[in-house]
Amino acid sequence: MNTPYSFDTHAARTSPTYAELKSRTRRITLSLLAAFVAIYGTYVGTSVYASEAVADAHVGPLSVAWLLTLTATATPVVIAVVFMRYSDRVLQPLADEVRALLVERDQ
Amino acid sequence: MDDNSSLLNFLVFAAFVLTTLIIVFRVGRRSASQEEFFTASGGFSGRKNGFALAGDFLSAAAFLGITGAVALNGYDSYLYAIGFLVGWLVALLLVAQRLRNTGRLTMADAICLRLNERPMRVAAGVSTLAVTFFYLLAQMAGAGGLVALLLDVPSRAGQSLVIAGVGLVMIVYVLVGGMRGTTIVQILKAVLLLSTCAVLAIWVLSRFSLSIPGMLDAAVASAGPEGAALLEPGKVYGTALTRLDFISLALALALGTAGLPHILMRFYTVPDARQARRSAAWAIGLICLFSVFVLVLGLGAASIVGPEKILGSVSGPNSAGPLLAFELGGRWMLAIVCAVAFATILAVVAGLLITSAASFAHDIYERVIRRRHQVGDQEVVRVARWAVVAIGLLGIGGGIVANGQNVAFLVALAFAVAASANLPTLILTMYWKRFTTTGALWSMYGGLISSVVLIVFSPAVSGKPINPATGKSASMIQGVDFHWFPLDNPGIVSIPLAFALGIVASLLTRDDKSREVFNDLEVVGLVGAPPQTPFEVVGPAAGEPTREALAK
Repeated sequence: MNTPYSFDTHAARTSPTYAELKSRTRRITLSLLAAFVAIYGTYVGTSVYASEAVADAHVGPLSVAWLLTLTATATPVVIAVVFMRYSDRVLQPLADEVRALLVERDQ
Repeated sequence: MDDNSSLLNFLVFAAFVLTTLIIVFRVGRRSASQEEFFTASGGFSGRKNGFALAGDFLSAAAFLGITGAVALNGYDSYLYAIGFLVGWLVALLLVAQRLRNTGRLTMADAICLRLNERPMRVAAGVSTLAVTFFYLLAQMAGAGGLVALLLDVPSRAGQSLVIAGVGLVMIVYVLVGGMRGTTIVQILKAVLLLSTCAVLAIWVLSRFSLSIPGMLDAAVASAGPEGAALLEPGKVYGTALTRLDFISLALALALGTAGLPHILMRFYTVPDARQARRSAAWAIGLICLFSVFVLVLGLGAASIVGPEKILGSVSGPNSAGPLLAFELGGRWMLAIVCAVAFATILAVVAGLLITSAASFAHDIYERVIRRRHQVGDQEVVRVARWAVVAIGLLGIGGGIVANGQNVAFLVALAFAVAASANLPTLILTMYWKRFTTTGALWSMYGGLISSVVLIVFSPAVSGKPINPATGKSASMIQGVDFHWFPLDNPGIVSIPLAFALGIVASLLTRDDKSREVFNDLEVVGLVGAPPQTPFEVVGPAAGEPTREALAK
């Protein structure tokens, strides 16, 4: 059996807590990633390929181009904070629970 | 700039070097283990590490280059600046935690647990050294231009001397302080850089009675008849080719950050996954703040200094920031900004030096060249120290040769290579069960070779039209034209290619070890190893009988 570790992961891997941790991790990561790709993609895509349209359209005193700029600047911070808080509050306790199931293998 | 202001610039900078040297000598440990020398034993908190990450990442090119670019090209250049920020999300969401949980000292550690160790160490070592060396060269060559501007040293010999001096200071930092000293220099630099930018940004706004529209109007007015274009997209990326080139660059920036070895290594300087996440989040906040400051400074320089004066100065766009500081606060402010710019180079290069030394000593020397011997910790650290000296001297030599060249493409190259050679393998190792050693090798070497080859045959290196104003081509090599790749940035081709190579070659091969270890790795990547468990079996490398005996 190939493994770099001196402990057995089987019990941890098959526990329901691990399944929950895995699916929650996947859900938060993918949704934040999708949000970021959508916003950054729109920003870069329109700035480069629809520059006149976003420069001319206005929302109040701001052009859509600058509105997108501000959004794209702030989004990474918002996403980072959301991910950090969610990880600390929800994922970390689950991870701690699963880690306790990692047992030393008999030599 | 007169003689006095050069002297003042030098004195302020010397004060910074002296302070940091004292700190580095105080924290440096003479007999350090690998853990201590390469990762400060994981002893930094997430917040401190976040500052150090920002200090490691924000180079002089970012500070001086982007301020100047925004001053001249406004909106489009800020679009480019945001590229440096978004890459951090990939680092935070996909890489930071798993890397911290499964690796120990270098990027290769996290890859080699699943894959066949020897060829992967070599591949990861080669690409780490390539990326860090391109990055190092860009910083050192940039230092030459900075010297010309800030210390008013026009002669080439004088500039070479200063490059050598800067390089030697850095070598001393790393030799004496190891990762602990390097980290503290980076934290200090990040604080200095951000607070200087903050002061300048507020100062700029106060000139326009804290009114942003007021500043924007002034910027448009001083830019002349085409001034309005400054605040709209399309000034730089106006043709089909420049647009595609920008998309290619944006891709490399977004995926390159999480593949830069000196950034990845900083995730080992914290104790656990929670702090690794925290440090990436702090870095994102700080770099976002920096982007906003740079936007204000750039537009401030456009309105207060004006584009003609910026373009007319010795080092062109790069001088926008320093000129703005001089207009606002006179000699003293200029001296502080110059010192900060130098501190920026120092901190970045120190980070690069220790990363490449760690990769050489740990990945190549300990795990490949001397894999059949029991190599002591002390011996690896000794080799790493020699590697610091050798790579540092190589960087000084390269910086002297490349001084005065257009070096922006070197940074772009470093990002493109990191995004093509490192990131696909890193992601596939962490997330794809079917990944094999053959796939990883094809992906790494394919990404490395394709990105380097494409850039050699790109217009960045040869064949750009000659600018009538300067009589020179914007390419690195003058007078010849051997380019056939139309874009400056290879990312849009080489990144998908590296992913495709990795996936196809994996599907065509079998790797039982990789498949089995993936199960363990996935659990440990998510939850971390239990305390008191070594991250990997110490001793002879994978494939040796001892490991199987241990694993039974």
